[in-house]
Amino acid sequence: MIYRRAELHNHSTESDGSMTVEELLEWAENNQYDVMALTDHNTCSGHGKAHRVIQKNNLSVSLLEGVEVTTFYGHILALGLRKMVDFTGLNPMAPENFLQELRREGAAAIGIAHPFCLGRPVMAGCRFDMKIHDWNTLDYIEVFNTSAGTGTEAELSMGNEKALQLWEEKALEGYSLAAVTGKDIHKKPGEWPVMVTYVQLDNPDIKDPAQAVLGAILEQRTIVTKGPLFYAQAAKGILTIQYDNTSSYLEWNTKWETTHPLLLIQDNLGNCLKYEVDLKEEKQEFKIAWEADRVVLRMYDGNIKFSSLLAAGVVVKQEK
Amino acid sequence: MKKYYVSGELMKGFLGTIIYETILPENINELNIRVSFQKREMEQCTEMDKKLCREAWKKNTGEIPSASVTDRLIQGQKTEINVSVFHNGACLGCAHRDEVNKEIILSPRYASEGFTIWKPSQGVLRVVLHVYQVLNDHTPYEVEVLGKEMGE
Repeated sequence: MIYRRAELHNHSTESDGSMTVEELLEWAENNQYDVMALTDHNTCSGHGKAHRVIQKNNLSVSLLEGVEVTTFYGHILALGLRKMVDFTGLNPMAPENFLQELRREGAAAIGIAHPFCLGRPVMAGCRFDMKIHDWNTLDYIEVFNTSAGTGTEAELSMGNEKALQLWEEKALEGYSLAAVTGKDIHKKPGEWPVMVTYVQLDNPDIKDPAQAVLGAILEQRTIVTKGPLFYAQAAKGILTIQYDNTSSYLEWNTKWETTHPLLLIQDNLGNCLKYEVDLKEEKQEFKIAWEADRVVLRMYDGNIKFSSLLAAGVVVKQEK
Repeated sequence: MKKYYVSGELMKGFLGTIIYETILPENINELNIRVSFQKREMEQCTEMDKKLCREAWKKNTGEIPSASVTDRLIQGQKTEINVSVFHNGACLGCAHRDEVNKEIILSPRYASEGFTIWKPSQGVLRVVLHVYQVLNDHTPYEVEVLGKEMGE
């Protein structure tokens, strides 16, 4: 299994960011991101500039074109969209028509940004107040927006815990939604110990990393993490997890040996199981309910509280 | 040089889209669009303003904010009007930034940040004001569109 790091929610001086497109891509390169999405508010004007910067500066980071459609009732991330669309006719009580229009215009993966961010009047339009009737019209949820940094107040103001719970609820219901993070960069990010997104890929020979990331999102092959990476499969009541502790993010590749995580497994039948994780084992097996269709996973550092989360956002379908 | 100018006033609490549409003459070679407004910060904070802030905070945190946190939440608000421009249905870009005076240049050689190069042609120009928040009554705004003609 190959893992690649992607940063999926960013703004430049093409909208209200303070970093130019060039500065943003250089930052991504220097911080070991394989793929960087450019998602300025309601404009695609930076895409051409970004491609030219990558070529001129000979950067290895790949660009994922996108937009953050910034409405009065929430923000929608449209990855793969290269041409901004008119959203003035969007009905927040039934946005599905608009989401389909985004897809017709080229959006490959459509997600909700910071769904439980502080709302109006404090942050006008940032909270997702639209009424989704058909969750099949979406591809992912930003479960960790890390723009406010770390700390309890930051997490509460962004509503990340509720966002993760929403994703888990929908994933267990069977909706094909991926969980991702977003730095929502507006200025050079601080060096905070926050969650980032990795995608799981089978093939090491990746010709187009940006397209590979899109494909992984559409297949729910993402993990949000502070370092631990793992791949899970489930069949006949056994969940098998293969660990990968090679990530240098937050120096996980040196820290993991002294970490004793707990794994929380929730299934679609309402069961919630807790197991100790032995990261020294390359592979571990855990019992789950034979009748469960799917499970979602969380890995904690020591105790089961949100602030101790190490990794989450993984959904596994059980083969019957 | 062709010049179009409109102005208006928005009342506190306005939330919506204001669209100005016009037909461009054939010989326009560059567009300069300016959208400006005043009264960015809240001038008069009412008990209702504080109540709404506290409710928004409590929805996320489960707690009523302290007076100092409430003040911080109030001070962090701003009147916000951003601008998209369309030509013959195609989006030329958006000025989504915290500025009370947004100036946009569109031409075959240069476009302001947020916008793409524009190949002049006649057709329908649409200037869309996205009014996300208005904090004060009688908030004035202006829209000016200057069309530089070929040879100018």
